[in-house]
Amino acid sequence: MLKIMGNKRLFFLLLGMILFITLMGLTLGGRTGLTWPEKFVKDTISTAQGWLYKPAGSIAGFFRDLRELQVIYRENKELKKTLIHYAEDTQHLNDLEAENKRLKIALAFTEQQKQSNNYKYHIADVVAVSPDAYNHTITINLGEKDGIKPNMAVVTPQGLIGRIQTVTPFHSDVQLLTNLNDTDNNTKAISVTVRGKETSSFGVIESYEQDKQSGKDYLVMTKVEQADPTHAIAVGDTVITSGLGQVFPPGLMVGKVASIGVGEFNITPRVLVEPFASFTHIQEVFVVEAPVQQ
Amino acid sequence: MTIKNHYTWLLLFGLLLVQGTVMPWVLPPAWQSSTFVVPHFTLTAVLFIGLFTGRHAALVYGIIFGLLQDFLFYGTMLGVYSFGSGSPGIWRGCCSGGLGAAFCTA
Repeated sequence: MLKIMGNKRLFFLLLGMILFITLMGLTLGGRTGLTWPEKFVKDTISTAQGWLYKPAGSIAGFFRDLRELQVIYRENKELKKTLIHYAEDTQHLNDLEAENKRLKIALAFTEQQKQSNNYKYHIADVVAVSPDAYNHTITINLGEKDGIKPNMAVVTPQGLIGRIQTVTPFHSDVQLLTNLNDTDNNTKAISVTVRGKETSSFGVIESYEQDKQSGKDYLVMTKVEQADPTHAIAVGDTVITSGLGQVFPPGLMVGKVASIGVGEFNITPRVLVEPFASFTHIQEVFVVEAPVQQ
Repeated sequence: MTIKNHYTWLLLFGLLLVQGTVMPWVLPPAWQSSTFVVPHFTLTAVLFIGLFTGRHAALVYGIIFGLLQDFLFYGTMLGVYSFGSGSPGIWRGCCSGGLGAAFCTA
């Protein structure tokens, strides 16, 4: 080997390897944000990616629509039916909202408390998806200039899909829930609760798991605490964010309880949650901006 | 296919754009969750440049487009892609002739 390469070449090869390993080592732990050259390069290329992703998605969507025309016809009928329910619900909601407002005034809520449920949803287009199998990231076309900050929750109409990881002036990276890992410092666990049992069941979603047979996505909920045994968590329950983790605002839809198993030390259950949202073929997402907590 | 060839740069840049935007739509969802089909077109192109023109060109292309990939999608650390796609060029240079070709494509 040495004879083929020559001493000089070997020297440069080793030097290059040392340089790269140093670079990887330096950026491994302490990568807090992006530096300006990174931001500039990323913004420029992401703009070009944006021109391609949306048309590609529309064309793919067109062919899928053709294939699923029959399904869409039925779906449309169903949607029209639900629309009537919506009208009823809206009327009911208006009523409740007015009542809620009145009661809040009566109970002397502060302005901050009144605004705490007033989330802003920023709609964003996806511009690119990471082709890496070990780094599930998507890029969206909203950035620092639109008021996007790291750690904001990202949802689709179906449910939670991830959080903002880094921002550049015009684009941001979203880390998908499929990247969740309890041994990785770069992911953040989500504190969750069960809808309808908000005061009795709490847990933390720390990792993502995939069923090898069916290929279904599951989120693993551990550290489940059940204050009230009569209101225990059950299969089919809807899991929502609790807001206790101070990263995500409360009330975002996460998924449905698929199965309840035995945890690591047999103390607390290990719950598999089937996410509502799909993590592939995403076209539009919403970034949730919660009011600032003082 | 040397460094001064503008078409090669454009081709590689085009491939970089396509692998992150068009491919997620072309690949069926099952290939993106249970089986992973990873469209690393730039890496493939770099390997071909290494085979047909020379290791130095492949090294330069590999490092530059690897670094772009590193910048584009925020990962745990910098330099993985740029090292990973730069080194095939050099390794191809270590072995020569048919053996090298077999090694690079394997």
